[in-house]
Amino acid sequence: MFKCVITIFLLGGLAASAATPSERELGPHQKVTGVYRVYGGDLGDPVAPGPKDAKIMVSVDGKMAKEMFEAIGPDVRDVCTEGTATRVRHKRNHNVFCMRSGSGEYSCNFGFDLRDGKSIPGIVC
Amino acid sequence: MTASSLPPRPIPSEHFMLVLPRCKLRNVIRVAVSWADNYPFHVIPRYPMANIPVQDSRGYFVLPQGYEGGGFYVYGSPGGGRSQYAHPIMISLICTVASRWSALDGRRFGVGDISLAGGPRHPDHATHRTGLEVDIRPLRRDGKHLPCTIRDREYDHEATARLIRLFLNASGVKKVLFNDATVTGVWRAVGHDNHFHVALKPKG
Repeated sequence: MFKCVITIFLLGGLAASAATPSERELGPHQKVTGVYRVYGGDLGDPVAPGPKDAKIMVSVDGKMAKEMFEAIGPDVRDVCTEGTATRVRHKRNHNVFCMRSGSGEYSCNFGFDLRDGKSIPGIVC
Repeated sequence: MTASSLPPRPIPSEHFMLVLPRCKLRNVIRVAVSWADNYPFHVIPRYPMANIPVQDSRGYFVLPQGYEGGGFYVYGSPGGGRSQYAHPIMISLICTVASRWSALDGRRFGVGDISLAGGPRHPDHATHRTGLEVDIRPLRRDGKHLPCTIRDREYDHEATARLIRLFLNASGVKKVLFNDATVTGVWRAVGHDNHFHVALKPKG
């Protein structure tokens, strides 16, 4: 009887743990806070966009930035912000770039070349 | 009508001093003011100065927007000086380098983003909140006040390297980021093909 109870508990635990990832609740869509700009040239010295050169940079903050920051971890060394309290995480050579400032503000930047759809950085140092 | 055929327009020194209120390099200012008092300003194109506060909540001033005598011009995003609120030691650095540069080269170098009024996060930048970072355009061979990348035919490698050396030799410079691998003393960083980034050490 005791063995039977243990087995039931173990099977129940296994079932519960197996079910957790697949049954993790998918949250609702969220509003975004941030800014964007369509530009031409390079982000460090942007010019007005034209028919042959149009890119977009997006900078978000708040809950979205915090979720992105946590999802793309871990922290990486960044020549731009080193020596400060800012924590940086990025993917694909800064194409997705998130920061947590020393005061706890989260922000993330990303961009796209609107001519070919390729991902590009949305921030410079 | 040429500059030499026009009568000199009196520009009071006090007016010029108002534009450079915190620059500690008195000698640089005296030379600039002396020169400015005698320069026919009415033949120089006016730079659009946005209707913005000259001083922000930190007490930082906007970089002079029409500092014709000192070897630099301004650009930036947003323009009109909105992204050029600078720590006093940054204004001193730019004045110093500009003065030295103008003795070496007739072209002016472009000074871009420093910080926004009050130091909020700049949407385009990971830094540029303290007034201690500045972006500078590489020099163009044609001297035009336009963007330039290290891949452009107009990019003047030698002149840009000389300008960077002036910044690196100035006191208080922490690091310079730039992607021309042949320039010594700089760090490489994503997005620095079309400007170099100068960061100063905080004072104290």
